[in-house]
Amino acid sequence: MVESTRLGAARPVFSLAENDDSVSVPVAWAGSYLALGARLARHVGSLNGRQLVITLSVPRRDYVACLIGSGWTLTRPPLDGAGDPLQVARELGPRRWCRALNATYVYVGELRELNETVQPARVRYAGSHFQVRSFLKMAPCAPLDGEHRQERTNPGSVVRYTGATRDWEHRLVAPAQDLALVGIESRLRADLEAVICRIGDEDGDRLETLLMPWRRGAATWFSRIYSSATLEEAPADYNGVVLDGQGAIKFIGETFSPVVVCVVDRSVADETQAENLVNMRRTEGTAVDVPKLLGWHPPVGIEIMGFEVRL
Amino acid sequence: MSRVAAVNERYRSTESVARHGVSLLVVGDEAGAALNSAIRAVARAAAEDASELWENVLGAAKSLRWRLAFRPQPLALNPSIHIAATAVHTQAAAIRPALGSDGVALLDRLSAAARIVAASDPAVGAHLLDTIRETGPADCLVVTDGTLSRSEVGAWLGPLGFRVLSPGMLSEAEIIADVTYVVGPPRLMRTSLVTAPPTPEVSFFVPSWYTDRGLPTTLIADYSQGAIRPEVRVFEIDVVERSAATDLAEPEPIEDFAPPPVWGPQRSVTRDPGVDEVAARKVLLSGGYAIWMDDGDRIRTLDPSQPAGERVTYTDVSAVEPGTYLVLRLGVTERAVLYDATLQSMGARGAVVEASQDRWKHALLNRLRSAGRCEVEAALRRLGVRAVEQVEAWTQRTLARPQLDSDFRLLLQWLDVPEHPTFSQATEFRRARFRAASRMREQLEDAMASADIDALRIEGHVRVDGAGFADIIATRVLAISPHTNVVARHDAREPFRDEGGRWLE
Repeated sequence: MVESTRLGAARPVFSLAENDDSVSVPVAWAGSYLALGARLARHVGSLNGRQLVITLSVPRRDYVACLIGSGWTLTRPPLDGAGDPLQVARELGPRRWCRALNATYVYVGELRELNETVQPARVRYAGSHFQVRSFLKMAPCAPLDGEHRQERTNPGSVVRYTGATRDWEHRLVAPAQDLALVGIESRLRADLEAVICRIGDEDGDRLETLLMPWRRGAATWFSRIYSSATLEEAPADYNGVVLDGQGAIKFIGETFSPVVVCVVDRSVADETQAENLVNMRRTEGTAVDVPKLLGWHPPVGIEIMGFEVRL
Repeated sequence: MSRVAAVNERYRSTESVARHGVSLLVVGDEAGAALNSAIRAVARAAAEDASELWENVLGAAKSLRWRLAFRPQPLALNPSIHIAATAVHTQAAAIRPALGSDGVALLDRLSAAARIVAASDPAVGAHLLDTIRETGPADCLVVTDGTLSRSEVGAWLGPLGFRVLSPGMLSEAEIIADVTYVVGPPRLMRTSLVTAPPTPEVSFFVPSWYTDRGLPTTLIADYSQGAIRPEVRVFEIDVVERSAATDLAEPEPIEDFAPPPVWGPQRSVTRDPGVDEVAARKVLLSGGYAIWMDDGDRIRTLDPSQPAGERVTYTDVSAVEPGTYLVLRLGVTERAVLYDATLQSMGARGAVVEASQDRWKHALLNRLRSAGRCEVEAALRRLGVRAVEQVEAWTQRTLARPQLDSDFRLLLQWLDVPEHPTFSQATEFRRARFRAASRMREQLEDAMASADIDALRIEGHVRVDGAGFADIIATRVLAISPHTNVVARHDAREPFRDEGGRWLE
């Protein structure tokens, strides 16, 4: 897991590049945001019916929500139930949905039939026939609107650094999926192109790989992005929600996840939503000293306000 | 420079300013001090009189003083100083016959000060030019308070090779420089110049008569860890010992510095609105418009800093403030257009649903008319209806139904209206309304995509063709009245002409 004591130091641990083709720049703040996301992901279990609202005021919003989100997804444990494909297929029985992966792809679909009368055993699954042993891991999942297959992304420097490589396949078939990001969708998607790498390593990870947000036709995903401009109601049933910018923070009143992070971009003039957050803290919140609570210290230039409300 | 590199530069500049502070370059300005002092005297007299007589003179004079603080270029390139000074004389002449000798003396002092200001180059300008020449165009930026000042100051310094920017441009531009010179007092500028600065060094140019030396902080600073509170280093240039003209008892509150909106005779109305009325505040808008804004449904707004396609959104009425851009249809309310579009989209079902909606809404309206709002609210509260304060809003055709299922069921029972099919039809209407709203948002986005966003930023308003519906304006909120009035429900949110914002543009 991400160690914020190492990450929070002023000396950069990571470099960030705008995309695969650009030069990477050592940046101290990337590690800070990853660490904050990781700390929150670990803290969420101890909230017991309270909501922790964290407001970060940052010089610019770029990458902040996605980095915090990545720290979260790398830290949250995958769901139980994933295991040896033959065993999972037996226990699951027919007409149930599951995720599976082999060396190249992740699949999601209905398990139609398990045939153990042939050797090696075969399954009719996700619209095709497979040898069960061609899969490396399988896990039950909720039914979707369609069966899908997607190429596996392989973890790099940062996944390795945080230790999430150990259960990467488990994460791909049984992700926690308990994080939502709300903001200007085109900007969040552009942030996902960025490549983060531990300084000294060669194989960086795209933020897309770490955050792995849902896309149309995806077989697996770690998180979900919602466009604040078209959202009618705040996303429900998540453990963590990141509200990125003015348009997203206005959903704070109807966001009931245990952890909410509001990212306020100081380079934007409009402070209306920050005012609402301050009022919320004053009227219904209990102030929280974030460094004490999470052991996370804001670097110079980042302001952090924390409070808790009853859910 | 890649986006990551640009963002990282912003972090480094922020850290540098947070650690090392900002400079305040205070420039002696005798002519401005005399004007400032005359304005303060008039403001005191106006406050004692408690009349609206002085409103326009004061508005024009503050508008002149504002330009003096933010547009320091030589008069030859400074048309707005002349225009503002002329406005002071015009407004003064208009009220002169109504004044006694004390008032005339105040007016003469103000007019004389305005004349002197309009006759000499602003004091800050020469020092600004010296300083930036010393630094060199490659190493510094000049930042003004807004797009209008930027175009005027830019016409002066641009040809000399200097980069002149408005604060709005700083969030987008990739800028390489060592120092930012800001024209204007820090607390009257965007907070971001101090808390998210574009360069590692920031200096503000301020005329000596502006005595507030404080820096702005973010709204959350008082409640946060890591709050950014840089030091201020003050350097005085050509400042004479305090002259009699600047010797004032107490500093002017920051909110009194800007030119005020002209509300006309207006005071809060305390009576409760009737069934067909709403409580609303007047909102002055750019382009000589105004609306009555009630505290109901969210309102369409536009954020010009967002990419095309994500600019138009809904905002809570409580979040609308000066600087917000509203998207309005001329001659008709958004609600009415949305209602018609919703029914249209439902085809033949539209008439059935409309009749069903009218039935329970009329029943509710009748109860409100016969028993009164208080009685109705109390009765519903006893039944366990939660959003009782919405009861009058529920009578509007454009509002589908109470938000909570339980509230709606209880309401229907109380009205003796059968739950089926009223409940499901209202819900159907609500769904259709969501869809229609989303289509309308797309239409508005399309309309706004063709609008000139730069013109919107500079002029404050822009009008676009309504593509089959009424024409649309996007316009900046200039001021929101502190007073609540009661207006007819159908007048709320429909733009009308009002020049009350003329000194604010």
